[in-house]
Amino acid sequence: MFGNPDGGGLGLHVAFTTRAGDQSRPAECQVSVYNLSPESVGVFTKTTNLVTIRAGHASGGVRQVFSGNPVAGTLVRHKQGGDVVTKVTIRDGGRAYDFGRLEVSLSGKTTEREVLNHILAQSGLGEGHVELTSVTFPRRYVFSGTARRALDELVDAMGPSVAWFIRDGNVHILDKASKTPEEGPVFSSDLGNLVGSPEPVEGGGIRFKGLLDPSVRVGKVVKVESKYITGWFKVVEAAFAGDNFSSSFYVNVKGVAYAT
Amino acid sequence: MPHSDADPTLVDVIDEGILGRLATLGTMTIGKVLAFRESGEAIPRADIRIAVRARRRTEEGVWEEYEQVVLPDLPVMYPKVGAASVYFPLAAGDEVLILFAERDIETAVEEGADINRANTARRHSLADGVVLPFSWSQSVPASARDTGYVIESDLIKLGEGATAGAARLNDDVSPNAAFTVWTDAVTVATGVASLPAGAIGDISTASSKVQVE
Repeated sequence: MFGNPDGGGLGLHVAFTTRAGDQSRPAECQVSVYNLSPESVGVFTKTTNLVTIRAGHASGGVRQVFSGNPVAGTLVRHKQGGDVVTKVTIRDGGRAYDFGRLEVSLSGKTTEREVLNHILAQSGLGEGHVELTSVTFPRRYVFSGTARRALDELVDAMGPSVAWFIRDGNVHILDKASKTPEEGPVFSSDLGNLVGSPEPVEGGGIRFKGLLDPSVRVGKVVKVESKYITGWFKVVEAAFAGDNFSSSFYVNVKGVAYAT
Repeated sequence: MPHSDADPTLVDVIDEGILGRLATLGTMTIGKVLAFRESGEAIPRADIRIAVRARRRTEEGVWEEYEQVVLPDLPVMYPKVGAASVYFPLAAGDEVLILFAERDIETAVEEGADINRANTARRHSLADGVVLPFSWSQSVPASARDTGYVIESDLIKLGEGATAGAARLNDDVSPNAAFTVWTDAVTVATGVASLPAGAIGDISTASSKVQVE
C-alpha cells in the first residue's frame, strides 16, 4: 500500500494512467510512485506479483480501478526535481497473456466450450461474460502454444463479429455489437460527474470525460446526459487517470451508441 | 532477446516475433505410431507421438525442452491412383513422417470435393497433420521394411529379374508343346478323346509360390 495513509498505506505520491479497449491486447496501466525506497522497488520487478490500483471519489467510494502484473523490462527510475520517480507498466492479465500456454490433445468431436475450459484452466485466466458461437472440431482439437493465440484462433472460428478481451483478469468473449450485462453509471451535468461536453467521433460514437468512476469498464453500457448529446453508449475504450497529490481523478471514455 | 533485456532494439523485437511465430508453424516432422485404426474407412487413422522434443522459454527466461502433444486420429495416406494402390497396415512403434497442411483440410479429407471449404482459419496447425508411412531412422533394420506388403491393381507389371514372369492366383494354365505331344500319343494309343483347346485349369489357392491377401 503506497498511497493513502488513511487506508493503511505509506502516503506516497502515486499517479497512474490506464488504457483499455475491446481488442485482445490486454489493458495497460502506467504507474508512477515517487520516492519509493530501493527495497520496495522489487515488488514491481516480478511478473508474478499483482498490482492493484484503487481510487474513486467520495460519492462513489474507493474501488478497484485496475489490477495486473508488472511487465518485464518496463521498470524505470529517474530523478524529477528533488524526487526519484519509479515508473512501471502493469497489464491486466499480463502474466497469463505473456506466458500462459495451452498444451492439449483432444480426440474426437470437440466443442468450443471444451476448448475454452482448457484454455482457462491452463492459463490461469478467469471466465468473464462469455457468449459462445457454436464451433465444432469434428475429429480432434490439438494445440501447442500461447493461450492468447489459442483464444485468437477459437474466437476467429466463431466469426469476424466476435471479439475477446481480458477485463479484471477474466476473459470476455462477445459479439462486438453486444454488451456485458452489468449496469453502467450515468454521467450528466446534473450529477456533476460529466466534465465538459461529450464530442462526437467518426463512426457514430462519442468521447467524453467524467469524474473517475471505478465501475466503468469496456463492454459496459453507460448513460450520458448533456445538453446536446444524450443516450446509452457502449464503452469501447476507457482510460483512467489519477494523482493522489493533486486530487485529480478522471475517466476518459469512447463509446458507441447502444440501443437498449 | 534475453527475457531481462530492458532495452531491446527494433531488430530484437522483430526477431522475437518471428521466432514466436515459427514455434507454432507446423511443416514436417517425424513420429511414431501409438495406435492404428483401419475401421472400414477409405483413409485409415493413427494416433502419433512426435519423436522430437520442442523448446520453449519459461517465465524465468530459461529455455526448456518438452514433449509435444500427441496427435490423435490423423489420416494415414498411401499412394493410390485410380484402381492402383499400395497399402501396408501400420503398427504401434512404426516410424512415420507427419506433414502439416497449410490450411484446415479436415473437410477435404472427409468429403473429397474438387474444391473444399476450410473448416477453420488455422494455418500450419498441429491439428492438420497427415501421416506418411516412411521410416526415418537407421534403427529400423532393412529386413523389417520388406515384409507384409500388398500391391493391388487390375494389372500389375512386375519388374525384370527374379520377379519376371511371376503368376497370379487363378491365372489360366495352358498345356505346353511337350504336354500336347504326350496327350496326342495317348489319344492314338487308347482312343480317348484329346483335351479341348484352351486352358486346362488355373493356379490353385493352395499354391505356395503364388499368394494373395
